[in-house]
Amino acid sequence: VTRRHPADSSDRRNTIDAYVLEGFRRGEESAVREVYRAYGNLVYAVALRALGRRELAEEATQQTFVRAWQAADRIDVLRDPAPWLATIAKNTAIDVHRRESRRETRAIDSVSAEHPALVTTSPDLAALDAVWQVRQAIDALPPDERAVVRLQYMSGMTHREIASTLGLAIGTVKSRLHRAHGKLANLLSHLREVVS
Amino acid sequence: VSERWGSHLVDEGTRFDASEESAAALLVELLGDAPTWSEPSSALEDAVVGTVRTACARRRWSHRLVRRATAAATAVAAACALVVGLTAQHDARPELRGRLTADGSLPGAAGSAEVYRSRSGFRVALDAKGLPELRAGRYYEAWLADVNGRDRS
Repeated sequence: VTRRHPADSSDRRNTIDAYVLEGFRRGEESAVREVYRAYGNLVYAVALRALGRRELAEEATQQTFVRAWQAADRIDVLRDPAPWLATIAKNTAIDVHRRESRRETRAIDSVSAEHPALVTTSPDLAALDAVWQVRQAIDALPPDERAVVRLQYMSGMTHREIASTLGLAIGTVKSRLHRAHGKLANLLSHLREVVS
Repeated sequence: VSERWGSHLVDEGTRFDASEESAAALLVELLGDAPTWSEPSSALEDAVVGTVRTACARRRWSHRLVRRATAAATAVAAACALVVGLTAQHDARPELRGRLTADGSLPGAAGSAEVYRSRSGFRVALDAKGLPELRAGRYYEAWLADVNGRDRS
C-alpha cells in the first residue's frame, strides 16, 4: 500500500466507491485509509472551525471516523457518503465542544477579558456545513489555482504580491484567479441554501 | 447565481439580494479563515486507522464474548437437560418387577409386570403373552395386592 497524505495529493478526490465502503464497514485498514484520504481534510476542517484547537480537532476527527465505522452498517454503500460523514463530523465536533465547555480550568478572574476561552458560544451549524462545502470546493481546484486563491484570501495578498511570491506574471495570477473564482462559484452555488 | 457569485469574488461592486449577499460574505469569510485551509498532521491518518482498528477489535472481542457466553449458557442448559433426563430415567426405573404366572383357567398364559412410581402415584406395565384376544370394548384388569393378599388398587 502506498501511503499518501491528503495534503500532498494533487488529485484530491472526495468520492468513494461502494467496494471501499464495504471494506470500511468491515474495518479493513486499506479501506479506512482510503475513506480518510477522501474525507479526512474535510472532517478536520470542520472540527478545527468548531473547536479552534488542533489537538481537539484531531481528537474529534478520530472520533468521527470511529463513529462512522460504528454506524457504517446502516448506510447505503451505493450513495455518496459525504453528507452522512459531514453530519457525523459536525455532531462529534459539537460534542467535544460541549465537553470542553464544561471543563473547569482556572478562576475567571485570572483570565484576561480578551482571552478566547471566554467565548463559549456553540459552533454555528450552518457555518460548519459551509466549511465542509468550501473545503470540498477548494480541494477540487487544481493546485495552481488553489495556491493563488489561498494567497488572496488567507494571506490577504494583492495580485502583484501573489505574482511576486509565486514568481508569476501578474496576468497569469489574474487569469488563474478568474478561473478559480468561476469554479468556486459553480461549486458553491448551493451554499446559498445553507445560508438561507 | 453562480455567475454572479463568480463576479462577486472578482468584483465586489456587484449587487446581490440579501441571501446571496449573506452566502457570498460567508464564502469570503471562510476562504479567509485558517481552519478552512488547515491540514491535519501527517500522523493523524495512522491515528485514525489505529483508533478504528482498536474499536473493531473491541467489537470482535465483545462479539466473541457474547458467543462464548451463549455457548456456555447452551452447555449449562444441555447439562441441566442431561441431569433432568437422567433423573427422569432414574425415576423411570421400575419400583417392582415381577414375573406373572397363569392359574388354571389360562394355563398357557405368562408375562411380566413392572410397577413404576410417578408423581401422581403408580403406573403398572404389563407384558402378557398367551392371553386370548378380547372382543372390542372389553379389557384386562390388573390388581395390586400386598404380601398379605390385601388389595391396594
